[in-house]
Amino acid sequence: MTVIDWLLVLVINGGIVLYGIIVFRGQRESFDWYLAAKSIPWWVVGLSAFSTAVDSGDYVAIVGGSYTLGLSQLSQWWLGIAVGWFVLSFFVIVPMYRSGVFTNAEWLEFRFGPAARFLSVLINIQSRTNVLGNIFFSTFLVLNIVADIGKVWSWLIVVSVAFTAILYIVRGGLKAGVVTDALQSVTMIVAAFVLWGVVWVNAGGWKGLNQKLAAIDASLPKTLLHVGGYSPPGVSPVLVVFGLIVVLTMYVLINQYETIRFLGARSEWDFKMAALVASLATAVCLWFNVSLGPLARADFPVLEMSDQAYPLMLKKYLPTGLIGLVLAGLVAGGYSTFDSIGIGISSLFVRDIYARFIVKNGSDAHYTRVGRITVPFIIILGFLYVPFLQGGMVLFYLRLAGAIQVPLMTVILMGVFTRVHRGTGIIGLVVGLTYGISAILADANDWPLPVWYTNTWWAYLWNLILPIASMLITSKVIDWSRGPIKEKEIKGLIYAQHEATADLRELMASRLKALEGTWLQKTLREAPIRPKYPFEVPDSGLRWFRRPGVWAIIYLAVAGYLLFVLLW
Amino acid sequence: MGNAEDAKKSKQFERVYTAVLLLLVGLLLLVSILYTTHLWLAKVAIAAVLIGVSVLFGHKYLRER
Repeated sequence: MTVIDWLLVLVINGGIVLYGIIVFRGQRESFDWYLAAKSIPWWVVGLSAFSTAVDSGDYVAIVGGSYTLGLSQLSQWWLGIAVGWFVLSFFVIVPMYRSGVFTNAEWLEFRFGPAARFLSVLINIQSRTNVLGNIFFSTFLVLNIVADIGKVWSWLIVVSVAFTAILYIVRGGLKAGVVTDALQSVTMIVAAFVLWGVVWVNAGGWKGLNQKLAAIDASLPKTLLHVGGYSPPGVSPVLVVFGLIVVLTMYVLINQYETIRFLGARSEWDFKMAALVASLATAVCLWFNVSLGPLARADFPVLEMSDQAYPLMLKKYLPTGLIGLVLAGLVAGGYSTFDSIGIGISSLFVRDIYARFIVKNGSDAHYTRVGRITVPFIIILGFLYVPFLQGGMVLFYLRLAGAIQVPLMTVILMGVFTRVHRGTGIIGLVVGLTYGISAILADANDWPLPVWYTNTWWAYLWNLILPIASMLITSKVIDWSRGPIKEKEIKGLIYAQHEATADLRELMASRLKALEGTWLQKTLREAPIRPKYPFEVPDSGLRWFRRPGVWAIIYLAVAGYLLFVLLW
Repeated sequence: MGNAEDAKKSKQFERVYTAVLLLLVGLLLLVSILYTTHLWLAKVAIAAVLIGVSVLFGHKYLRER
């Protein structure tokens, strides 16, 4: 890398960071700092959701992952994450947005009790600090391999990037994070396209890639260039694709740092349209990244670590100037996720642990201050994962996600879509986590258990079935002993197309005795109510092209056709 | 009135900031051709887009100043 490359990285990312620091100041009230005063338009929320979901870890790890898994990974990025965003924005977020909560864990307590809230916070912290570890490690790999920087200096640069992200998020809160994310997303898409374009042309396009892979191993084109091509022993390709779809649907549905962006939207229409923007941006960007995996396999058939693939291609194909541009996109991906994890996990810690269980009656400014202070500590936690990432970041993440995070998604979906009793949430979580952790232990210690119990991909299926079954059975038992759940217990907490939001706020504020007289109760009562639409709706209704639902169906149909017909 | 004035100033700042930033990145890309002419066309194409957008923002800024 030359001085010009470094200048490009510095100007692009420094420019965005400085913008975040200068423009977003003085967010003193918690509603402004945590939720951007619910003022963000759809396209900003959408781009921010995309750049939050895709980080520098993904650039390196996805290419490393598709080096082995091939195009099967497209199923998660074209469909899994989009399903997650559509389910979140059309259904799951609706009761949360209307009820005035700041976090999904807060909603979980109203729906399923304090234990569910607490466990959800722990799961969120585990999963996001794991992702932080991925980003740290991938950025380190790029610096070490591409830029030939020594290990110590590479790590120092990673640490300084993490801490400059903290600067603007601490000052500007969610709004600073979301707007800088939108700017970073443009850099990320350009970066992904530049590297892919150069490598693709050099490989001779689709035909050339097929020939190169076949020359290495005749079965490789079938494995790597088809969505249904990859399957480990004892697992069908359908189950792999199912697992890949569930992993990102789950990612969106459980993660507070995704949820909080949608909660910051200026209307219900805005967060629904945001899901479309996020899905489209992700589909474009991730086509480039996922298809780079097979391209890397054709170029470097034997690698010590599959995660080396991306930095090696960067080094081989890009000249001065373009290397800087692509690296700037990679660093932008890191920034956009650092800030998102910072604000997301900070909101969880403050609302769901600190204000709920530790200091209940502080001033509004006190909780905003604690939120700001928490951010650096969250970022530091990510470094603890680094020693475990040598075997491939995607595979490590997939293993933990199926075992630990899917039960939480299942419980959230059951809470939004069904009328199961309040006491069932913790049962679903405990059953799912017990199975998930036992599967990981059995796999790691070679316990004599069948593949369908221990394998990563099977865990995605079981962690849907087991929590659902246990929650339904428990709910039925409670039905028999105490009668069905009362309407007032779930009013405003499950999905409903229309609801009187003002009445709901008062109901929410007085629902839990434990919140009596606390800051949490005050914010639930006082948070301003936002409209369904940010514009006047004509009596004849919205034209088709302004309806988020129409776009969601079109997107899902096209993605489904491409994945399951054209590329299967 | 104060709020409207602030919003206008902030918009103006955003425009000039974006214009300068994009111009800098575009120029850096063009300068990188001096290091190596490999893929020069790709660099020129990206730089042209960046500088074009920068000029647009700059023009808007100057018109409304």
